[in-house]
Amino acid sequence: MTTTERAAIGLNILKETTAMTTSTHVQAMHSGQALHGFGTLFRRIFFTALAALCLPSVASAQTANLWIDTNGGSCTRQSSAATYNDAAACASIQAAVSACVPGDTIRMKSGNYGGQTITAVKTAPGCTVIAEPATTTGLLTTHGAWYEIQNITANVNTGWFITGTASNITCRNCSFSGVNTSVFGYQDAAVYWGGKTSNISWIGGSLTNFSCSSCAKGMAVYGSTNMLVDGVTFDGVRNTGGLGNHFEVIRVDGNVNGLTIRNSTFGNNNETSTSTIFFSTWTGTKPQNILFENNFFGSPGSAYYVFQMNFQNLGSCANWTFRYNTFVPGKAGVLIDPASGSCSGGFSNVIWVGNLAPRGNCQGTAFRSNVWYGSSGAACGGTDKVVASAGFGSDGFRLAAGSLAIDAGGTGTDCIASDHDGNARPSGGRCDAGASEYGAAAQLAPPQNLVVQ
Amino acid sequence: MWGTSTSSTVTGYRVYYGTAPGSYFQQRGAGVSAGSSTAYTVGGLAGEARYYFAVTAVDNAGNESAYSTEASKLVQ
Repeated sequence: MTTTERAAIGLNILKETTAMTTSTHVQAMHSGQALHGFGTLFRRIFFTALAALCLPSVASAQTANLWIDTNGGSCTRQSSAATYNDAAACASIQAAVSACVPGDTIRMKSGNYGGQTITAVKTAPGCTVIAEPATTTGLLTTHGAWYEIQNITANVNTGWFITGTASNITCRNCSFSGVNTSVFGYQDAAVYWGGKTSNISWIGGSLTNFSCSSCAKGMAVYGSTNMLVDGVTFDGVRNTGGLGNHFEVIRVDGNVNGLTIRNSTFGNNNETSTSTIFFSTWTGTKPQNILFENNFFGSPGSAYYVFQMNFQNLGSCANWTFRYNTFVPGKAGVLIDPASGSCSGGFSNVIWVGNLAPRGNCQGTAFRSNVWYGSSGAACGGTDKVVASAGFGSDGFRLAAGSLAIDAGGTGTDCIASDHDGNARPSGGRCDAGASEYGAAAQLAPPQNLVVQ
Repeated sequence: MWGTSTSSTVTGYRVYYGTAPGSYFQQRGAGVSAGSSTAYTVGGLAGEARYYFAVTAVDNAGNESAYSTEASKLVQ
């Protein structure tokens, strides 16, 4: 028996129970409109409709080449995408990806699954696993190649682990929270990208309310090539056990070549004795080709810095770009650890463009169109601006009307195409400094009085 | 169901939902399009969970508003 629940925003919630195999439908209807079909029994909860609405009924039964459910089955692939068939379902992501043909869609029924380990090696364009809402797993271990997983939530023994030579793997809208009881050796993090992995992406999702009594970081990026973190929220990442002498949200370590972190938010974490982002050469050479763009950085809490570079006198810091990030005041208002030994060879091609940050952060080699705020400290570059206040809005990151960061960023190649929220830049003659563009989007009023029925 | 944005340039709405407050299955910018309607039916929700919903407005330039005030519903 399969149960499908429908929530109708503003209309109703319907619970559909079938004795036979069923599928998911999306429908819009008048309040009170009857639903019929396929011998189903509908139990309705009606609410008052605030406005009459009539849309065509759309049957959109979801189809896939393979299905995954909690009790498994023959794991039979359909060459033409088909609706869910309990007997043909697979019991795990690994089984389904192993059976898929590149280009296939795999759907994962809602439910609570255990830890998932994927080792299947596919080829371009890969297979896509789409989890239904309320799909939870344990620890997600993704080796192999060429697949994408969407909408997974791991909240028991949480985490995401990649190592070996895994490549071309994307987790989209994947969220991890809760307590981690697994420790990946010295890798001790909730999310670990290591080995000689390449082309790994985390797009949307979160690491939130994560606690670990034996971890030293929320996420570790070690020895990986072409890594992307895009639109991920890191909130409530904390160490509860006091292991080691520092705890950071993300550690970027040796041999990393190509890491972009953009459109992401860091806040309410519990970094201790280090930084939000900690760079090190503990396991190899210095990270290179690093881009931070359109991120919101909250205060690094009891840590010292937003970025710390622990390079043990291994020469200069080179080829890093920090552009259009927003920083709220930190413990000491310092973004980059300026201590001796961190970048003992100086900075080479470390560029800061269009950031909105507290004063006193002139570690780098090129500064253009940044806005530095606070009561003391100089601007770093000739086109930078110094203001007393950033003019943040109520959320503490986005700009309020009248902020002096508005239209204070760069133009041309020093202005980027979109902001943290995906809104087009610039909305005026220049980009706004920081991660959020105040303009059409900021002035666009959100809907009101949302009611779920 | 929601009330319209007061902005005159709004051309549509996007629906976001998830099982934790403020955290939605859809990435920002990739919410479910509700067209220009002010109501939407979400299908495929598993029972025994609380779902959190928010809606944004989108204008003809592709700009997206902040999330609406969140609403939730326990689906049983």
